[in-house]
Amino acid sequence: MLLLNNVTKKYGNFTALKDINLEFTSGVYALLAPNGAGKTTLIKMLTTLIFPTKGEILWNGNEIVKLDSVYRDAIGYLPQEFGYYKNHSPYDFLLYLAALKGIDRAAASRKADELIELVSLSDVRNKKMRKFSGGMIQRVGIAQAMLNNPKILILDEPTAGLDPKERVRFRNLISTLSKDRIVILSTHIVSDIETIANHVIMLKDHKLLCDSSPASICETLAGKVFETADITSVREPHLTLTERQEDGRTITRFACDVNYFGAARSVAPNLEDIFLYVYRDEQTVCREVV
Amino acid sequence: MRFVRLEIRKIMSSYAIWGFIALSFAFNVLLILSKGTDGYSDYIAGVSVETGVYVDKDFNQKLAALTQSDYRERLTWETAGLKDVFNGYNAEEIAEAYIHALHLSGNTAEDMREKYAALQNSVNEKAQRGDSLSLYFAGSTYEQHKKLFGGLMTALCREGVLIAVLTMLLVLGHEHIHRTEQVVYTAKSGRRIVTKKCIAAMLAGFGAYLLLTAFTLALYFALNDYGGVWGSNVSSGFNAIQDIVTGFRPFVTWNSFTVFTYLLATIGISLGIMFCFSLVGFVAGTSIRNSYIAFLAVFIMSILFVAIPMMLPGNTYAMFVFTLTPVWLLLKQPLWFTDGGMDVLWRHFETTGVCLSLALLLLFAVIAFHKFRKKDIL
Repeated sequence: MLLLNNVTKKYGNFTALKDINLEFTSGVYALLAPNGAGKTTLIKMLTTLIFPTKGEILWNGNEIVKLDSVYRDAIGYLPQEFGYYKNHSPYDFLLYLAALKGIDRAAASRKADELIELVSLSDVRNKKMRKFSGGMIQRVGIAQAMLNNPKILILDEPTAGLDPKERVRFRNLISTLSKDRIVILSTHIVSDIETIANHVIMLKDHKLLCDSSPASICETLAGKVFETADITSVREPHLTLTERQEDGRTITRFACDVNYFGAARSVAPNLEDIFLYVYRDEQTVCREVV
Repeated sequence: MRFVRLEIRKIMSSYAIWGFIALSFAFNVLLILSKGTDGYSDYIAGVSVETGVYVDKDFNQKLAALTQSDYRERLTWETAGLKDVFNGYNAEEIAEAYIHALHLSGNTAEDMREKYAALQNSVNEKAQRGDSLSLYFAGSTYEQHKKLFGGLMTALCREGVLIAVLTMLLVLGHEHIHRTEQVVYTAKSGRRIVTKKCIAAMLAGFGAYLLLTAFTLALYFALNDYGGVWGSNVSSGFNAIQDIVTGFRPFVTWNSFTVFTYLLATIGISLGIMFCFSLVGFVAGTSIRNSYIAFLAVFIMSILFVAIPMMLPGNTYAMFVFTLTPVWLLLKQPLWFTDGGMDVLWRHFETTGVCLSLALLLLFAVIAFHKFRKKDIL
C-alpha cells in the first residue's frame, strides 16, 4: 500500500501542493486536474525526483526516501516528457535501462523482447529511435516502465500528443497492465479516465479535492446537468459545459446549481461535466452565465 | 563494472570527445613541426649509445674514437673540462634572493629558507653522484628540454585537463541533454549512478589522455631521436632554469631523474591533476544541470584561481597556498619536481599540491554527491 500523509511541497513562498492525504491499493488511479494544478509535482514526489517539504510518503509502512532503491525497484515510471537516446534501438535502450533497474543481462534480454512484442514494436526492435513517431516513443516509454514488473506503475500524461487511434491502443494497454498493481495515471484528458480508472483523484488550488470512484464523483452532479436545443430559454444561472450538433441543431449541455424546472432535459453527468464544472474558473472554454 | 562500461560506451560514442582529441592531436603535430628537428641533438642521441651519457675520461676516449665531424668537434668542445656545477653550489643564495624580491619576513621567510636548505641537501647528493656531468643534449639541452617538457608536455597536460572536465561534464549532463534524467534517476540504481558516471568519466579521460600522449610522443620521438639520451640525468650541468630574480641557474630536482623517469613522473603528475579537474567537473556537473553552464563555471573559477593570488600581497601564506591548487600546478608544469621558483614555499610542491587538492576535492565531491541525492529534479 502506498500512503501519503499530509504531504506538502513548497518552492520558496509558493505552495505547489498542500496537505495531501491519499491511499493507493491496487487498481487504476487517475489524477485529474488542469495543467498547473500540481499533478506532476505529486507524481515527481511519488517517484523520488522531488521531496516533500512536509509530510511523508510510505510504501508498505516505510518512508520511501529511506527505502531508497528498494522503493525504486517497485516503481515503473513514464514521465510526461519521455526522453530517450535517439541513436539507440528500442532493444538496446531497454537493455540499458534494465541494467539501471538491476536486472541481469539474460533476464533483461528476455524481458525486453517480451515487452517489445507487448507494445507492438517487434518490427522496429533494432531500428534507431531517431525516426520513431510520438506514439511509438510512448510505447517504448511504457515498455521501459514495465521492465522491472513494477508494483506501482506511474504514468504522467501518457496519452498527450497521441492521435485517437494511438490513444485507444494505449488505454487498452494500460487496462491490460493494471492487474495486481497500482497504476497512477496523470492526465487532463477526461476520456482517458472514463474507460479505465477505478479511482479518480482531483486536485484544485493545489489541494486534494476528491478521491473516489468515477461513479461516485459523477453522482455529485446528479440532477444538475441538462441538455437543451435552446439555451437562450434558460433563465436560471447556469454553466455551459459543452455543445454538440445533432439533427442540424446545437445541443447545449449545461449545469445548474439551483432548482431548474425548465424545458431542458436532465441527463446523467459524466466525468467531463465534472471536470468542466469543478475547474470552471480555470478553463477558458467554460462560460458562466449569471 | 557493468554500469561503468555502459557509461564509457556513451562517452566513446560522443563526437565531441573524439573531435577534441583530433583537434588536440592536430595542434600537437603543429607544435612538433613548428619546433623542427635539430641535427646536433640527433647526433648526440646516436653517439651517446656508444659513449654513454656520463661525461668522464671513458666518455672522452670513446668520443675521440668516433668519426671526425663538425658535430663531434662541437661536442668535444662543449664537454671538455666539464665541471660539476653542484660542487660548491649554494642554494641558500636563491632563498635570500627570493626573500628580498618578495619582501618576505617572519614565518614565510623562514619557510623559504627551509625549502632551500632542503634543496641544498639534494644539491649535495647530486654533487656526490655527479648528476650534473650527465650529457643530456650537451649545448642543445636547454632548448631540447624546453621543447619537450616546457612545450609538448605542457600542451598535453592542459589538453588532458580539458578532456577530464569535458568527459565528466558530458557524462553527467548526458541525461539532461537527452531528457532521460527522470527515467534514469527513478530506476533502482537511482542517483547513485552518478558515482559510476564519475568513475567512467575518469577512466575515459585518462584513457583519452594516454592515447593522445602516446600518439603525440610517438610522433615526437620519431622526429627527435633520443637514443642513449634517455638515461641522461635531467639535472645535467647543461640544463637550466631561468627566472626573473635569479636568472639562469642549474635545473635542480629534489630527486634524481633520468629523462625517461622524468617523462614518466611528468605523465604521472599530469594524471593527478586530471584527477583533480575531474573532481572539479564532478562538483560542477552535479551542482549545475546544464553542462555548458557548468563548463563555464569551471572556466571562470580557474581564471579566479589564477587572478586572486596575483592580487594578494606577495608575503602572505595565502598567496603561496594558491600555488598548490591544480590551476597553479598546471601553470608551473615546466618546474615540476624542482624547487618551483619564488612563488612556491614548500618542497615537492607538485606532489604536495596534487595530494592536498585531491583530498580536498574528494571531500567536496562527497558533499556535492550527498547534496545531489537530496536535490529536487524538476
